[in-house]
Amino acid sequence: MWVYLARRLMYLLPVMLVVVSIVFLLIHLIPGDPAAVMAGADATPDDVAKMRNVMGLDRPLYEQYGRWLFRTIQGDLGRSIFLERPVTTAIAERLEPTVLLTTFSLIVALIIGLPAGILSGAHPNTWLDKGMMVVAMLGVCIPAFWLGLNLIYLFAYKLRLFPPGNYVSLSTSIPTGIYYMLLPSLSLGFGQSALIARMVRSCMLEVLAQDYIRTARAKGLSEKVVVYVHALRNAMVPTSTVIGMTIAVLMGGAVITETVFNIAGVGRLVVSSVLRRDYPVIQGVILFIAFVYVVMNLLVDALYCLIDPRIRYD
Amino acid sequence: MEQRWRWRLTALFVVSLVLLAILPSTAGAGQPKVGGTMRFALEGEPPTLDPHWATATVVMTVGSHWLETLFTQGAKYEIIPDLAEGYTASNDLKVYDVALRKGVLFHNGKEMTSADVVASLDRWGQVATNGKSFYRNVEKVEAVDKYKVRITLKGGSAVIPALLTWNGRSFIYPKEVVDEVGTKGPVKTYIGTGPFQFVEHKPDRHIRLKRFDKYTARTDTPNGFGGKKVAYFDEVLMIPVPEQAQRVTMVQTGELDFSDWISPDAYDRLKADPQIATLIVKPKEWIIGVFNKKKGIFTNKTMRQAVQAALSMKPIMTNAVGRPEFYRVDPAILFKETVWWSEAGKELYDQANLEKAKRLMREAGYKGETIRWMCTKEYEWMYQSAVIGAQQLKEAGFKVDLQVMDWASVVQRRTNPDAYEIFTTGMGLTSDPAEFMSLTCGWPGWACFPELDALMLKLASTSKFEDRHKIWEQIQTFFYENAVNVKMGDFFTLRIHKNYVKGYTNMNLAFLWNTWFEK
Repeated sequence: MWVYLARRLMYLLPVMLVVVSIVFLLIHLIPGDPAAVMAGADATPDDVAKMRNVMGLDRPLYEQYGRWLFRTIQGDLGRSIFLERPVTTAIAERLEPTVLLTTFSLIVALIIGLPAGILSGAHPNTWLDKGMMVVAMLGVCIPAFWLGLNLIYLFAYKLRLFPPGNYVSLSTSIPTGIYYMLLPSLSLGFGQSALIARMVRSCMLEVLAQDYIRTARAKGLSEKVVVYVHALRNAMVPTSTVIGMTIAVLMGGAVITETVFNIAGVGRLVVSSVLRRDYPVIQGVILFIAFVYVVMNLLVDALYCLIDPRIRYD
Repeated sequence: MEQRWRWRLTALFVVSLVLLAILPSTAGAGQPKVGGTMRFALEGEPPTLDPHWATATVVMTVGSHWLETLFTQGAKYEIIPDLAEGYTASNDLKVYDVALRKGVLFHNGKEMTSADVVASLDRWGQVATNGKSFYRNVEKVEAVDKYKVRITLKGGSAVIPALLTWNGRSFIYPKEVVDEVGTKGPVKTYIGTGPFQFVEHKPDRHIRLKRFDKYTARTDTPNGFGGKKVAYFDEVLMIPVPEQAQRVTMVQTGELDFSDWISPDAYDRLKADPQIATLIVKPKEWIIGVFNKKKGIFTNKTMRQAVQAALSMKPIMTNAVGRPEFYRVDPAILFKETVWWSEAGKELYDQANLEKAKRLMREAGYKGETIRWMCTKEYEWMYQSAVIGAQQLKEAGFKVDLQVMDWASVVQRRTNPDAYEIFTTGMGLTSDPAEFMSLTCGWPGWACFPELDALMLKLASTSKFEDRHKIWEQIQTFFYENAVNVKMGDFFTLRIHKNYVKGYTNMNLAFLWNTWFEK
């Protein structure tokens, strides 16, 4: 097990290297540069050229890449061109809203997705099952930004029950912080809840059709025990993969939700950095999100052993 | 005797009743109140907080609250003193003596003197776009005494006070703040003389300012951006909200108190909301199609004139802005609200004459070359005006390739003469007409005309307003006769605030002094 995890951690390095190299090339290939954005609309070409020199953007691309990679290996993601601070600090400052949004969205996804999937799987082809799967289908189809805008319109603008956006840190006030996080979490988590529900239903149907379930029923166990004790745990093995990946997907999805709800998190940092071509921040944040993806994959693999002791990596 | 006292008591009672009736209504009529936190929406995160370093409007909006300039603009955008007490100029306009106000304090408690002004202007002259252009004509800037600064020019110029306004970005920092960074980068310590002082900046979250209790206000009546400035709010929280729909909802639901840059599409809805005050920001900007006059088919004047002849501005502006309250089809390069307005050359504006355009295209020998028209969707009015403009050119027989990209790409590509034939952008107010960047050879589009340069120089070196206005009319005529660029029309924006915000003065840049809450 530990050897397996160590080997997987070793694989992490080439994966990250490929990701950062592609990101570096892509963002430098698209037109536009931060010097021109920073200098403003009235700037002359000379002003922009001078600013490019100050920022080191006039050096050859391979030199810029080499310098950046050398620093990154040492744990230094560089300095934001616009924010006048290290990229790691910029990410750390915005991590709290994104982690909270991801966590709350995951809770929403699990609260809706798990019961819906279990009930659908336990009562296949009933009206309950069909109704839940229609809702799940809607959840998969409706984009998070569209749902977010409609939630704002209904609950913030029309009913005035929730704020339309913004973020209040939990360190300021825990109830207010949660209150501000409810609509964004629902908007982001609903789509993933549908995915979880469909996955749980499918796994439940598969498990409930197996011989040991028939045996459990034959020996007189109640349907609740059969479903929640014997079937659910086995159905959770593939479902845990989806839940694990959901965390990474939610973190990526925060890019849009944070923009819609005006939450100053890592997601909005990516959007604003792309628009102003803040190369070090874009590279740093994508590196960070890629790292979360890879680590989540690893954790899910490790989790299999806990859910199903039959799984061995050695 | 007793009767006289009775009369006196009755009179006193009546007067008291009248006073009681009047006093509450006086308070309700708008007595300024101190206190509260103003939550103000910024259209985005400022790239820096140093207005010397960047020209973006959002940098100016923030900066004008904690920084000040020697001069500023009054209600009609005329030049009035701010940190300066006044100035004198030599007859040849080569030597300016600017007297500073005494007792003006920086936020660190230090008094502003000529040493701070000289250091700030020297830095501005090296790093800011307007400053660099100005300093090419500067012999030296020196402190005559503690409260007097002398600016000596190489050639006479009348634009000095105008350049030393907030619009010229020549803000005054303490000398030690300037010395700390020099010209290597944006300032690191945010100290100015403004009515609000800097507290903290959490990027993408907020910029927090608080009232500067030791602010040394002018004693003259408030006038536009100048005159007596009073900070009534305890704090100002400037919150970046890039999505305009989100800004609207946040003001409507009370999450914000004030927002600029609202789409005119929301005007009817917001006007009907009793909790919201709507303000049309007039003037704001005008839409310009800038020809590439350095390379390609628009080096040919007749081709440019063909485009000028083909365009019909009302459909362009309707598509760009929508509601008629928010645009104006007007030939003037400088807005109607300013003293510089003129109709010179108007017969060549908004011609909508396809036959003339076709004739000019034939005369110019147009052979169906592609016109690459660059625009962005980041500013909807730029894209929407370019869509109709391109359509009108196609109807005249031009082959147009409308290239839509993000703003950063437009800003980069417009400096490359091989990349385009036209690009769309906006022109705002300038500190002085002689500083109009798009009429200079160095700015993208490259307006390199010796005759125009001579007129601009003459404008800069003439002091009498009437004479300057005549020169400006000649420049505007030259603009149209040579189709230097093409003006589409003026557009205005929508600004909203909660109706408990009182005392607000609606100028083209939002500011929050002399404004208070009544709730």
